[in-house]
Amino acid sequence: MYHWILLGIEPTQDKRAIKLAYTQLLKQTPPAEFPEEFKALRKAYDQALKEVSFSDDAENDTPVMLNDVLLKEHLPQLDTDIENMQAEVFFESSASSNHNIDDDEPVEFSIIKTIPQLNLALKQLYSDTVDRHNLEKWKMLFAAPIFWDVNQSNTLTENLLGFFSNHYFLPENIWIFLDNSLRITDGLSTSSNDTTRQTAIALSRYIKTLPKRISDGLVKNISDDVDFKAFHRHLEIRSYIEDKCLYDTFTAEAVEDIVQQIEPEFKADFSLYDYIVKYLWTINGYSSIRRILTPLTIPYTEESLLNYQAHAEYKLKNYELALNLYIQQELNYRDFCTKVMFKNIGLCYLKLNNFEKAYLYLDAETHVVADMEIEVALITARRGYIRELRADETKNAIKIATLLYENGRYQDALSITEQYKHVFKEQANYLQALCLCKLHRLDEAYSEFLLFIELYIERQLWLWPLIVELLRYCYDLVTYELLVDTLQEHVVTFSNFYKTAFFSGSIEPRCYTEQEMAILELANEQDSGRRSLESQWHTESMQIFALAILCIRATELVDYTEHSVVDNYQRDALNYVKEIKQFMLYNPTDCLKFLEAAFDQQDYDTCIMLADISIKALRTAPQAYYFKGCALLELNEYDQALESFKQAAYEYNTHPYAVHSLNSAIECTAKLIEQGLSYQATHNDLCLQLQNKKEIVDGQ
Amino acid sequence: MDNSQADLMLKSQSLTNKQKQWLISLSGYLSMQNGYSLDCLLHKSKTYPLQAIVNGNIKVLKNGYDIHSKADLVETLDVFTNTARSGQFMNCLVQSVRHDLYIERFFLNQDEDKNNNEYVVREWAEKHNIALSSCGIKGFDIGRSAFLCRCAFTTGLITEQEAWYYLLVLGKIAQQLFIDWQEFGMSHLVGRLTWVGISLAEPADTKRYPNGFDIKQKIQLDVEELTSILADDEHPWCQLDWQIDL
Repeated sequence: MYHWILLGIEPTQDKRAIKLAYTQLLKQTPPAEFPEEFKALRKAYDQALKEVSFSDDAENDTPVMLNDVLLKEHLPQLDTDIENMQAEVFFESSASSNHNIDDDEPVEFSIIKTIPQLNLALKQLYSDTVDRHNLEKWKMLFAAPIFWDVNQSNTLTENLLGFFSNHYFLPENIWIFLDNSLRITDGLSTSSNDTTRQTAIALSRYIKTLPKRISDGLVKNISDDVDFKAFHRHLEIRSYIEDKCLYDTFTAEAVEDIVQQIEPEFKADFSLYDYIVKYLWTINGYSSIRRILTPLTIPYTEESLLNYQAHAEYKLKNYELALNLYIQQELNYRDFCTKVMFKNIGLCYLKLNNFEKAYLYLDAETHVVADMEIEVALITARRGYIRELRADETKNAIKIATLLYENGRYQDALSITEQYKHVFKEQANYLQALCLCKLHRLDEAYSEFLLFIELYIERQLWLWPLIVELLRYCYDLVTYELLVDTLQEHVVTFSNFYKTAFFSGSIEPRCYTEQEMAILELANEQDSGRRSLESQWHTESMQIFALAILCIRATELVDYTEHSVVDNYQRDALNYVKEIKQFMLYNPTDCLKFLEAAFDQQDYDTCIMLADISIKALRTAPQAYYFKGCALLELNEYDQALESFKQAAYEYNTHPYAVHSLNSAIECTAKLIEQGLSYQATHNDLCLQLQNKKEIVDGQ
Repeated sequence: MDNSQADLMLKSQSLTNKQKQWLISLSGYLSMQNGYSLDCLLHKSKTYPLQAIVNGNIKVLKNGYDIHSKADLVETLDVFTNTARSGQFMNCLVQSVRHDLYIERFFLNQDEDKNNNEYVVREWAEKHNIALSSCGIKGFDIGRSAFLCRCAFTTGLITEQEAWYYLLVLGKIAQQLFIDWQEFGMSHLVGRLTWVGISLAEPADTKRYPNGFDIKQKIQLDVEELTSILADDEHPWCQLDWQIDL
């Protein structure tokens, strides 16, 4: 009974009366000044509340859904400090309150002068789920007279810290305002008062982790009729889950246990489920995801959740079920775009050994780059589909050869093209030439190209795509006759470039057929695009490259009497090459073709750039070293030029250009000696090398 | 099934030819790159004589992995199976899936150099956070481990029996991690690409070459190499059942 005496009131079940007495006495015994008295008062207050709580629990029919012990365990730095603090200075925690705050008249902010008034106002503002999110309201409250009362400032701070420790479901902008106003992070976190400091640190941490918590502070789609107590409880569950995920380890079983405690009316809190499911995903809790999501009615707008539901089924090898979920998702997305789930649908079909469908779905046009799952699945789907198509090889010859070609099986594809030559000829498909190119049998490939050029002209088919392929691989074999009589006749300008890709060896665009569109349930023609083997930019670059090569071959094959014609061709070629610099970077051998033109046109930077690409990528590139040396020599970079010429001479070995390289190297040393540098020994050595090299070359 | 060391040791002594070929095939990708056949434990090649291969393997062990003895090999295998880069990859994968960690990562790494290794790993992990959620890039670790075992046997660091034992351990781990050779191959390839340091960040000049032209070119060779395995009906990866009884 001593605690009642100390509080100065009769024994009562009224928490408000206890807290009112406590807060009034607290004003007279601030903890900083009267630590012992405060401890005694606090003990009395706790004892009194304990009696009331005990009585409340006995009367309360509502079961406690979430284990409070668990809740206390999880709180990140918020646990004991806040638990100890929270009951001190404000009325009742909402979860255990029997007091209906609606009974109180709304407190006028402008008249708040005492802590009890403030606490009531805080409680009212917080309890109003609309006003609680209104920053202006909070600003108004914080402009109340009590905040100007210097005498109450310490108590006020403690009181506020206590309140917000227990009422923390506030949006980020309000927390930022509170943090700035109360100086929680900047000031109170370094307070000399242990309790204040610890509480402030805990709150500060909570504020900092706000962006990491479930993004929409409010539970969406919850009926307005939901009572505040249940709502608050639900938010506690949310917070508990967040804290466990952020600061602790949460087993899949524990997650499932917690989820079971979500009341039916909160089953629409999909942001929470999304949070949980993603957490479970990272601990491979696929079965738990299934068990948690299956009983829910998830609306189609919850895309992420539905996707993860399907992913989980896929991981659990329930491919039929996953397939149905993915198809449903694809249909859900259809209002906005198509083929969103094609990859996943394709993967399911692949696991179900339906290779044709797997291939069709996986082969859809996509802007995703470097997705190895698609790459691997496509290879496997093609392989499986080829096996099926081989059942009727004659009928499917082109399809089989194309798939083999796409799978890099050039020799196998070549065999098919040879075996069913008539079919390919009939369809004007020159895949055989491409296979031969890939197998580096360029002479045979060139002959094949010639046959199809004839065929294309005869049938009046568009020759440009075939020319591009021919010039891609066999440009050195192009003859004067072919160049002048055919290729130059069929050159196109930029504006007439083809934009879409074709099936390999044909001028048939890579699109789904009507029948395939039906299988994929696609209706619009604009959706018919398929996956390109190369990007559109690669396709364009190939065509520009063809133009560049045609220019160079013209200077090589045609004996122009006027130098200006050659100059024009070379300049055009270089302009094209510079346009496709990035493309050239990945085609080092082709760079060699333009070195001489770059040097002749005194475009030394381009010459050095092309040479460097070749030098970096190729095992030997004597002409690259030679022309780089020539360009550097013209730029008076004698020391670098010398090194290039020396390397060129070494790589040319017994080729006559080895002699030229050494001559140029000697020229460099002479220039360096003129500059007063000590290159005499090198000079002499090179002269000796030149003499030896000349003997060898002349002797050949 | 008992997978104790003693049990595995015993099992490794009575492997069937099929089991042996399955275990050797774990090194399939690197064997293909180096031109080694998969029909025997010893590294063999049509191009190079055995002594050249032995010398090459010694270099790989010493220069590439600092392996000079059997103890070094065991330590490396342990690192690969327990603490290798896969851990970093999985952390990045988790970060990319979880909203809370993603936010943290996003704010912490706003000014991060896009060419640093962690950034590269993160990009690959994010792109494959569904596909590789269970296995990560362990395929690369296991593939390399199997290859190193064969190197160690070829160079005489370990006996044939020891090699089979280590390969069996790797095989058991691999079977638990992956569902088929394709997934193993994908994991290996992504691991390799992160190891090589291929960044998925677009180059500065994306006006002319958007949509990953550059990236596609950089990974082309690696994809072609994997294709040469997975598209080959005769390759062990396309012949052997992944769930073989080991």
